[in-house]
Order: sequence, then structure tokens, then C-alpha cells
Amino acid sequence: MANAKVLGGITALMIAGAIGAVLTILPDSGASQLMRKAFSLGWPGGLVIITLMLYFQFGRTKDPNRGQLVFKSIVGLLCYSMFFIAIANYATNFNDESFGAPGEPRFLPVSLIMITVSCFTMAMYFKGLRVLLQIGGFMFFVASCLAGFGNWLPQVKADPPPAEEKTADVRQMSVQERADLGEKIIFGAVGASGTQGAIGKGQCPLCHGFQKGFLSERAPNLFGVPKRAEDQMKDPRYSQKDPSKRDTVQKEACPGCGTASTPAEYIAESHACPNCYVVAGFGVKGTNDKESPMPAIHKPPIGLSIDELIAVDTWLFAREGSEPPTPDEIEAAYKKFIPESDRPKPAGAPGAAPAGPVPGAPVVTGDEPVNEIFTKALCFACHTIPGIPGAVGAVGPKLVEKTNAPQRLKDPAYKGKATSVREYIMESILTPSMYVVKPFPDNVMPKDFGKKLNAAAINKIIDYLSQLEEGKEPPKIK
Amino acid sequence: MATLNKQAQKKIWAFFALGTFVGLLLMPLFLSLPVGASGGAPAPAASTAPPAAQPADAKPVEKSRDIWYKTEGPVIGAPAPKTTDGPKDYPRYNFESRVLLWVANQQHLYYGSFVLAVPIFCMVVEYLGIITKDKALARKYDQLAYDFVKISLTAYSLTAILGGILVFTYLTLYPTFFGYLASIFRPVMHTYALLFVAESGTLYIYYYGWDKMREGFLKWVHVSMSVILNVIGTVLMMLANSWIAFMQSPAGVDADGRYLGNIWHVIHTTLWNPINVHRILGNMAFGGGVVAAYAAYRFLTAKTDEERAHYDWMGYVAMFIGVCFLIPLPFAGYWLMREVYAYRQQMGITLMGGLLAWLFIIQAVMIGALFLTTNYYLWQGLERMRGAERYQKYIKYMVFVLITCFIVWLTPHTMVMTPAELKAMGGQQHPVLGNYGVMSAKNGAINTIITTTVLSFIMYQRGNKVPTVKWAPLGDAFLFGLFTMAYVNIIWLAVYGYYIPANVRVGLSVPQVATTLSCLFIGVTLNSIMMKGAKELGPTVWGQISVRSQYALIMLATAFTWMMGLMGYIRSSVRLFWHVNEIMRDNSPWAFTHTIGFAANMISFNVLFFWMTILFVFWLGSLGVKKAPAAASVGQKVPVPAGSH
Amino acid sequence: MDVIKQMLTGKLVEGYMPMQMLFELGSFALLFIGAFYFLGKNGIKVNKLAQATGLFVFSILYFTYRIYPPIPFSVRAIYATMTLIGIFMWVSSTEESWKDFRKPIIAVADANTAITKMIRTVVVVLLPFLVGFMGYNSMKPNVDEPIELRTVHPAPPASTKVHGKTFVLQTASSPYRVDDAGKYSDTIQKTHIDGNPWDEKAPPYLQYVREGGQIFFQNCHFCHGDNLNGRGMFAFAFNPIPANFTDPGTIAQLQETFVFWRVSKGGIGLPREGFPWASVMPPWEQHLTVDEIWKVILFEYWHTGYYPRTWD
Repeated sequence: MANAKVLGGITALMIAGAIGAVLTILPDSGASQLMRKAFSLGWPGGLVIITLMLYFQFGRTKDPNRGQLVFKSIVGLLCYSMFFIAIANYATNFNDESFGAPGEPRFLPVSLIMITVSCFTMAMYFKGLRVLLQIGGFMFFVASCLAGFGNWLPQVKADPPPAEEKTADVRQMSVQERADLGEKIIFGAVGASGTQGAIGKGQCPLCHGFQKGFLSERAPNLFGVPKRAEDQMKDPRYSQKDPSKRDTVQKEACPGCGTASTPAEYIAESHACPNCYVVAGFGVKGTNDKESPMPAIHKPPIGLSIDELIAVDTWLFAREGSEPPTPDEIEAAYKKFIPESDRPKPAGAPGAAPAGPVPGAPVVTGDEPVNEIFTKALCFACHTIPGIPGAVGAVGPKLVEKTNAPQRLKDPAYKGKATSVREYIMESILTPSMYVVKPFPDNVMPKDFGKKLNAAAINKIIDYLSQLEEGKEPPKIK
Repeated sequence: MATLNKQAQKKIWAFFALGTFVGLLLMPLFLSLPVGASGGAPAPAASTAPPAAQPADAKPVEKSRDIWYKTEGPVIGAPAPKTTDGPKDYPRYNFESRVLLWVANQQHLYYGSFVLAVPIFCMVVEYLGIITKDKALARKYDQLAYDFVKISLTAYSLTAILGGILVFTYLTLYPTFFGYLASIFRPVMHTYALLFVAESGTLYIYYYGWDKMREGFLKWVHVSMSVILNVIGTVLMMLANSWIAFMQSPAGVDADGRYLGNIWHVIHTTLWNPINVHRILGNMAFGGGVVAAYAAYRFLTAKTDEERAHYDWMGYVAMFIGVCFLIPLPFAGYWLMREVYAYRQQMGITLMGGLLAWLFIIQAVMIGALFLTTNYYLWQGLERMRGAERYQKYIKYMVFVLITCFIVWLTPHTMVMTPAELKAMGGQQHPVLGNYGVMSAKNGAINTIITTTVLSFIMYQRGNKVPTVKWAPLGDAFLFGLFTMAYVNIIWLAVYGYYIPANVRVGLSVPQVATTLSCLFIGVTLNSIMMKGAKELGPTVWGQISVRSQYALIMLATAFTWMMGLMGYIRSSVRLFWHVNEIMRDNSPWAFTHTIGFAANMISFNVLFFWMTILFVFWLGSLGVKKAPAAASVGQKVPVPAGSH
Repeated sequence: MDVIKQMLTGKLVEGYMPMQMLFELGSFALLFIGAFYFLGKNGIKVNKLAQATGLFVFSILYFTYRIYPPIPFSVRAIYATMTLIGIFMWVSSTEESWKDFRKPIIAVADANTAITKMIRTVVVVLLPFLVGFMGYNSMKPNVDEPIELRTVHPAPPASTKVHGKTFVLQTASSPYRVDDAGKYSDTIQKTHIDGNPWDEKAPPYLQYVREGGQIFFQNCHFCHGDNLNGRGMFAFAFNPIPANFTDPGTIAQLQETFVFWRVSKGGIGLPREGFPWASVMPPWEQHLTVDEIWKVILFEYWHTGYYPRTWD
């Protein structure tokens, strides 16, 4: 015992000496910082132990176990210090690069080892708690092995991908990404361009075919359009030199805008002013190709922004395998044909709301004559409506509702709530999927007419359509 | 005959009482379910009323499509909120909120599973006590069950406290997310709370009524109550599971996260049942581990031989139960993983081949460690049998087989090396060890490990016994042949796996596993039959076992706990940056996935915190009892599972 | 027979090495057990601690020097730890052997003979130095190259775009892994594994294999080698060296579409876990057409005799 006491005393002195040396010689080293932190965390308990030790040494002079008690206090103090150095190590190194100060979590298992050692050391001297300390120490040991193994393996931290809500700047994208975005706007998904019936925000495939041989009755097939544009611009009807000589209802996209000189400009002009040049055979029926059925794409209801148009045009070029113009070139082309006041503002930009119609706002006021409502709401593009010029679409059923509606209400497949012709028409406009006329597909007709048309406009449409009868003359438009 | 009738009568009464109890206690659940199914409490009723009143120009009830079940339903709930980083959605201390939640969640889970598992043991052991003819044995079983429930009682209140802490952590740190979850699970959460009351009531009656309901019919009522207790507990767990399953594989809502009025869809998501099964089995294994650790603790602090004998026996029983439930656990895990793959391939790849794959390597280490420890404990168990020395010389060969297989099992597919080592090795693949890194070798290794464990158990069963049945030599020969064939078959298939296409190779694991399982079932059954009425070479002296064996139990318990933390972390982190997968994004600064090392440190912290507190609970328990456990004098015949003794 | 002869002369025989290593380990273990049993029979009782130390040292030597090429330290560390655990389980399996094992240790700590005293003093003096040295060793700045934690086969993307065409990795299939009727076939490779691609009348599959082989030897073999074993003439100019297709850990583990993705995109721009992108594999989409890439992959599988992994 005496031997052990001397040995213990020497060890304690040595440790204290080493700590003191480190603190004085290298006050800024990691070890010193660790010890200072441990001290700041654990000094009250240490004080209690030292007080106890002093009490045993000087207060219990008569106790035969005095020496042992003092010795145990020293052991306790040592283990206590080790314990708090371990905790300080844990606390400093807890965080990796997450929050607050960066640490080195790989050192944490060292803390567990230190606690293991101090547990087993204490278990040697404190008989009453021996088993608990040993079990605890053993658990710390097992955990330190496992944690050590986990820290020894390769460390990979995975950041979440950027939030997808953020619209990326088309100018920052690679050509491929930009073209993908364009494909998505046209067809609704990347890689969907080969699928018949795929349609996106731009609604282009409603009328245009995009692949060689695809059906494209209402509008030109856009396969090879960047190349073809060169020829179109040379078409006498295009009248590249003097737009005023054009025979169309609208000679120029805007007064003084001029004509296109590059394929990019040609496409931009076609988007901004479909009427400026109508490819032979694709004009509104009866206008002798003077007027185009296509709406201006930068305006509602489709209302693509310039950025989106850049993506769309990039795709048109990229998918042909030709080098697309830069975003700046395309933007310049659009700026040429769309006057400042008409340009769609990027969402969220100041002044966007008053300049253009808010998305979802009514496109018609309801004061227009009914044929204008049909035109503005683009019904003509898909439906054949007797009495409305240009309304010869075949995407949706022919709207002779005085004849059709009663039959459909009787159809056993009809699941809607309407009981009269008027109700049926209203239902078909507001919730097109309620009843889909065969053989037309579902989900082609937009479902947001309830937002685009106000009650007056819908009423006018219903008034008109409910009078139409198969084989009879349409009523006069007021 | 009359007594038998009386017995039967008692049983009928007991079952009747049981049925009534179950019915009454589950009533809140059944009442709330139809309400939920028809649209979640009164609010939807109010929202469906107006269209009837003013059908003309009111907006019709909006319908939307279920994201998983693809059914249409009326939109009832609000869409999942889009959170932004800031004090509104993510209030915080100057610390990572997710870590705080992690600790709170894990502690609650540890205590929760312990509290759920222990009554199941109780039920089994108490029932065993009732049907046992031997009075002394019956009392011993009864005492054991009582001991179990006593441990769980303190843990029960801790579970409730930790649950409260967990809810407050959620509410204070993730208010928006929790609000969304609560808006969908409103009826479920209420049911959960009510069931908790029922659980508490039953548990208290069960515990405090133990002495009062000791005899005859009342005893049957008492054991019935343990059944009810477990039914409620399981339902509680399943309800809680529905929340996490929803977070991982949401259903019953549309793509915007709007609740569609069918509460059953929300509960019964595609991963719900796999998680339920996996968790029940896991809880049992875990509970076995904790009770074994408790027994080890009491063994090590025991003062008398009687105590040592009792707690040695208790540790053995608990270990046995734990390992029994450990064996089907991989199959449940396989089911869960299959469902994950079926739900989202991406999720499966992230787990098994991508970001989280290294965590599965840690899991592999732990599985190996569990089997090694089990074997070691069984070998140490030979010490308590006089006459079992003749088997000890085989231990070294088994150690060799186990360690060799473990070496193959642990050889990583992607080795960690410095560029210099890479050059020296000449490529990423090592021509010798590279072969150990692939599936075929691993399957062979783990099946050999399990088969060897079965062999260890059979050796332990035989221990101090010599079969006396006439066909004993034949049986021995058959067992020998069975295991030889098994080893040859497993290793042959493992080698053969290298020479065939991968899709065929995957199929090879079926015969391998079948081999292992037939060794387990045929081998153990046959051996048990042979050991019936066998001649004993010497007595089994419970309590005469090395301290190391008790540390093996503690190791087993710690490893179970660690593994549970690890697998829970894997399951949770596979959602990556989603609160609710693909519906509600985590926009807090902690949406990233931590490194493995950090996760390992956190798991270690959780495990150690749990064990520090539960050791404290054990210590409290040991303060209470001063009376010695039911007499189990040295050498007395004691019951042992698997009927070899 | 020849193989066994080679093994007995101490050669690691290619193709048998994994089982050979296990077999050798088993034989050495038996030798150890037998030797000590024999010594014990003849009255020379070797202490368990000595036995254990011997076994451990032997296993370290075996793993370090026997297995060639050298095993990385990380794996050797795992093996050594496992061996230690095994040795512990063995020596502590019975009370008797555990006592025998502990005897010398306790003697060093406790006994009062001259030798133990000396050992004790040496240990007590050396221990602090050892701890100090370990601390110094772990803290001293390291000048070695950092360990690269590159995952060689990172998780693939859902789809890849090559020459403007999108290939969904899970559904795409090789257009040339086809039977005589031109239909995709899983089994066609097995049918023609011994076929002759140079045969004029060979079925289409073998024709494609030949074309793939021509592409391979025009483009790939400089690095990946004539035998597809990653030992081409330029191979050792690179770090890491090119993949060895004859190893069961490379293409044998991968889906054909995965290989397609790797060949067409090359080493640059791999997912995060593949970082750093130290591979010099060029993005072959810039040099080969889609068809050529598929054909060369077809050839690689046919030549090595491995089958691509399929989606189960």
C-alpha cells in the first residue's frame, strides 16, 4: 500500500507538472485550450473534491483510514479531470461543418476511450460502485470501438440539392440545360418530344407537329424550321425588304420593327407577331392566308416570358444538332419585335403587375361581342363553332350544343350534375373532365377557363352555343 | 375430471373477460377510425354542407388524386407548407435543432421499445408459470415475470416523460412541420393519447394486482390483462409508426400534400406494415438485450450463490429470447428493403449502394459481432455444466471458422487506401481479397457463421448429457452428416456464384438460406428429441459461470442498442432533405446529411445516455428489494427454453 | 493436379487464390494446434500467452507478406483486429486456459522475483514514452498523400443523355445483345460464349462482338490491355490505373447500362461520392457513336466471360 501511495503521488505530481508545463510553455496550443475549457466546465466539482481531500488530510487526523481516503480523493480528482477533459474534447469537436465553430468529430471516440479509462481506474479503488463503473466503462469501450470504426470509414457529407422552386437563370445554363428547359415548356417534360400528345405550358404541340411525319394540320410542322427559315425569309410574300408590301392583316410586329434577317429573328418574329407572315395554307380559313390563327406567344393566355422563349428557341435549334444562338442574340431578336411596353416582365419584378395581366386574371371583360370572346379565349383553335370565322378546329368536338347537349345528358357514361343544356355547357367549360366526348382525349382542354372568363363572358358563350343546332344556320352575332 | 372442468370454466371466463376488456379499450380507436375515414372529425362535415345549400355558383368540392393509392378524394387539408429558413418555421437555439430532436426521439424510442417488449416477455413467462405443473418452477417463472414488469414500470414513466419532451421539441423547433403533420393525423394523435391512458391503467392494475390476483380464476384474469396490455401497446406502436411511415412514403394526400379525407390511406402507407413487423421483432430482441444486461448487472453485484444462480438463469433466458427474435429480423429487414425499392428505386439505391451504403458496413460489423458474442456466451455456458468439458476442445476450431468467415464478411468491396498502396496493389481491385468483397462470398460467410452458431447451440444443449435413446448413434451420424453437408453446400454455392450471371446468383441465396434454416430447425429439433431423458454426466450449476460471460451479455445488449440507433438513423436519413418525402421539403440549414462519423458519434452518445439512465433505473430497482429472489438453490432443476434440460 | 502441385510449391494460383488463402489459413491453424498438442504430449507445456502471441505475430506476417499484391493497411488492420478477437475468444474459452494466459501478466504485475521486477520496471518506464510516442505520432503533421475515398462505382443517374438521346438506365438495353431474330436476349451470350466471331457465317451477335473487338483494339486496349485486365501499355502511367475487366469486382458487378454510362461520360463529372475525379477515362461519346459504345461493351462481356448484372 505504501508503495502504491508513493507511486500514485508521483504519478499525480507528474501529471500536474506536465499540465502546468503545457499551459505555461504553449498557452495557445490546442491542448492548453482543451484544458482551460475542461477547467471552466468542471472546476466546481474539482473544488469539492479538493476540499474533501483537505478535510480528510487535516480534519480527520484521528481516522485510521485517513491515508486511504486522501489517496482515493487524489484518484477521484485525476479521473474527474480526465472525465472533464473528455467532455471538453467532445464539446469543442462536436460540430463538423454544420453550425457554429467547426470541429473535428473524428476525435470524439478519443473522449469515449478517456472516459473508459477513468471508469476502470475508479472501479479499481471505489469498491461500492465497482460493478456499475466497470459495466459503464465496458459500454463506453464498446461504443468507442463502434464510433471509432464509424469515424474511420470514408466520410461523405451530402448537401441537399438547390431548392427546385428557384427558377434558374437561362443565361447561366449550359446549352443542354437550356434546351431541356425549352423542351419542358413545349412538351411538359424533358424527353417527351417524341411522345404524341405530350403538351406543356407553351401549348405548342396543340397545333404544331415537331417530328418528321407527325400530324400537323393546323400549323406548320416545325421539323427543320431553323434551316427552313432562311428560305421563308426569301419568300416574296415575306417581303423581307419592305414589310409594308405584305398582304397580311398586320404588316409589322410593331411600327418600325422591320423584318427578320436571321433564323433566330424569324422565329422570334413568328412568336411575337404570327400575323406578319402566314405560311401558305395555314391562315385562318377564308382569309386567304392573310391572318394567322396563332396567338402572340408573349401575350396572355400563353404569355411566355422572354427567358422562356429563349429556352424554347434554343431547343428548336439544339435538337436539330445545329449550334443555337446565344441567349443574348435571341433576346435581342425578341427585343426587336416586341416593343418595350409589351414585353412580359419576369414574375416578381417591380411593376410587373400593372403592366401585364396577372396570371389567372380574366382575359376578356365580357363586354366584347361573342365572336371576340371565342377568339380571345382561343376556343377556335380546337373547336369548330358554326358562325365564328376561323373556328374550324378539330382537336375538340364541334360545338353544336342544341343538338349535342341533350344527347350527352342521356349518355349513361355521363356522370356530371347538369340537367339542362345551359348547365351542361357551363360544366363543360369549367370542368372539362367531367364528361369527355368520345373519341376525344381527356385533359386536352385547359381547366382554367373559370379563371380566365368572367361570368358575363361565360353567359355570352352559353347563350350563343345553346342556340347552335346541327344543320341549321347559326344565329346572328350581336 | 371435475377439476379439469373447473379449469376449463375458468379459462372460458378468462377469455370472456379478456374479450370485454379488449373491446372496451379499443373502442376509442374504432370510433375514431370511421369518423376519420369519412373525412376527419366535424370540420369536413361543415365544408361539405355549403355546396348543397347553394349549388349554383359555389365552387364545387375540389377533387384531387392520392399520391400513392391513385384514388380521387375531396381536398380537405391545406397543402404542405413551403418553409423558409427563419424563426417562423425553424425557431432555434444556437445549436443544431435536428440533433436535439434526434436525441429526444432516440431516447423516447429506446424507452418505448423497452416498455413495449418487456410486457411481451412477461406474458409468455407468466403463462409458462401457469401451465407448469411443478409448483416450485411455477413460482420461479412467476417471480421472473414480476421482476420483468418491475423493471419496466420505472422505465414506463420515463417513456412518458421523454415522449412529452419529444413533443415539445417538435413544437418549439419545428412548429410548421409538426403543425402540418398534426393537421393530417389529428384523429390518430388523439386516439394515440387515449390509448396511452388505457395502457397506463392496465399496466398499473397488472402490476399492483399481481399479489391480489395470484390464485385460480383471478390468475387467469391477470394473465389476460397482460394480453390486453400487449395488444394496446402494439396498437400504440403501430399508430406511432404510421407517422414515420407517412414521412417516408406518404399516401392519402395529393401531390401538394393536401389531405384527401381517407385516414386509413394516411395510416396504411406502403412502408407501414414492413416497419411494424420489423419494429416488433426489433423491440423483442432489444428488450431481451436490456433484460439480459439487467441480469448481468445483478449477477455481478450478487452477494450470494442463490442470487447468482437466479440472475445467471434470467440472463440466459433473456439472451435466448433476444437471439430468437434476432434470427427472423433479417428477413423482416429484407421485406422492408424490398418495399422501399418498390416504392422508390432511388431510395433503395441511396440505402444500399449510394450515400448510406457505408452505414450498412457498420451494420455488417455489428451483425458479425452479435453472432460472435452469442457463440462466446454459449461456450462460456459449458462451464456451468459438469461433464461438458469434453466439448471444450472443439471451441478452437469453431473460433477459427467464425473468425475466417468474419474476415471474409468484413472485407470491404471498396478498400480504403493511400495512393501509394493503390499503386502497389495495381488497381482498385485486389486479385485475392477482391473476391471476398462481392455478394457471393458474403452470403457464404454469413450462412457459415449462422450455421456454426447453431452448432454451438447444439453443443451447448448436449453439454452434460449423453443420449440414451436407442437410435442415438444413428442420430449422431445424421447430425454430423447434416452439418457437413450444410457447410459443403454453402461454400460450394458461394464459389459457384462466381461463375454464373448475376441474376442467377441472386437466386443462389435461397438454397443457402434454406440450408442454414434446415440446420437450425432439423438440427435443433432432432437434438432436443435425442436429449429427452438423456443421461446426465453431472449437474448444471447455475451461477457458476465466468464474469466474462456476463460481459458478453452486456456487449450483446450494447450492440443491440447501438444497432437499433444505427438502423433508425439509416431509415430516417434516407429521406435526405425531405420532411415528408417528395411533399414537404426541409428548408432549414440542417437539410444536409451528416457524415458517418458524426452519425456514429451521435448514436454512441444516445446509446450511452440511454445506458447511463437505465443503469440508474436498475440501481433504483436494486435499492427497493432487499429480499432474496425465489429460492433457486445451487443445482436445483430450473426450466430452460428449448427444452433440453 | 497441376494446380495442386503449384499450390504446394507455394504459388498463388490465379483463379483459385481466394479459396487457396482460406485453405492455407486453415492448414496453418491446424499445424499450430497440432504442434502445441505434440509439445504438450511430450511434456513441454507452452504457455497460452506465448501461443497467442505466436499466433498473432504469425497472422500479421501472413497477411503482410504472403498475400501478393500487398493488402492496404486499412484492411490489414481489420484482419489483425479480427485475429485478436479470435485469439481472445480462444484463450478465454475455458477457465483453465484463461488462468494460464493471465499467469505471466499477473506475474509481471505482482510477483517478486528478479525477472518480473526487472520487466515491471522496464514496462513502467517505457509506458509513458509509449503513450507519448503514440500521441506524437497521431498529432504530427502528415506529409503522405491524402487517402482518396473515391467510390469506384458511384450511384448512377436515372438517365443519361448521349448524342442528344436520353437513355433511362433502368429500362435501356443493349441493341446488340440480340438473338438471331434481332430480339433482345439475356441468354445469347451464354449460347455463343465459345463461338468464333471471325466466322463469316457467325450469327449477328458474334458479328457485333467482332466489331466491338475491333473498336476495343483501336481505342481501349492501350490502357485496358490486350487481355482486358487493365494492364495496357499506358496503364502504369496513370493513377489510378485503368479498370481490370477480368476482375469479378468490375463489369461483372454492373448493369450493361451502367457501363454504357461510364464509357460515354468518362471520369470527369462523376457524382459526389466519386470525387476526386482522378480517372483519365475520356468521355467516349466525343469519339464513338452510341452504336460503337454498345458494341464495345458487348465485346468486353463476351471476352471476359462475365455476364452483365440484370435488374432483378
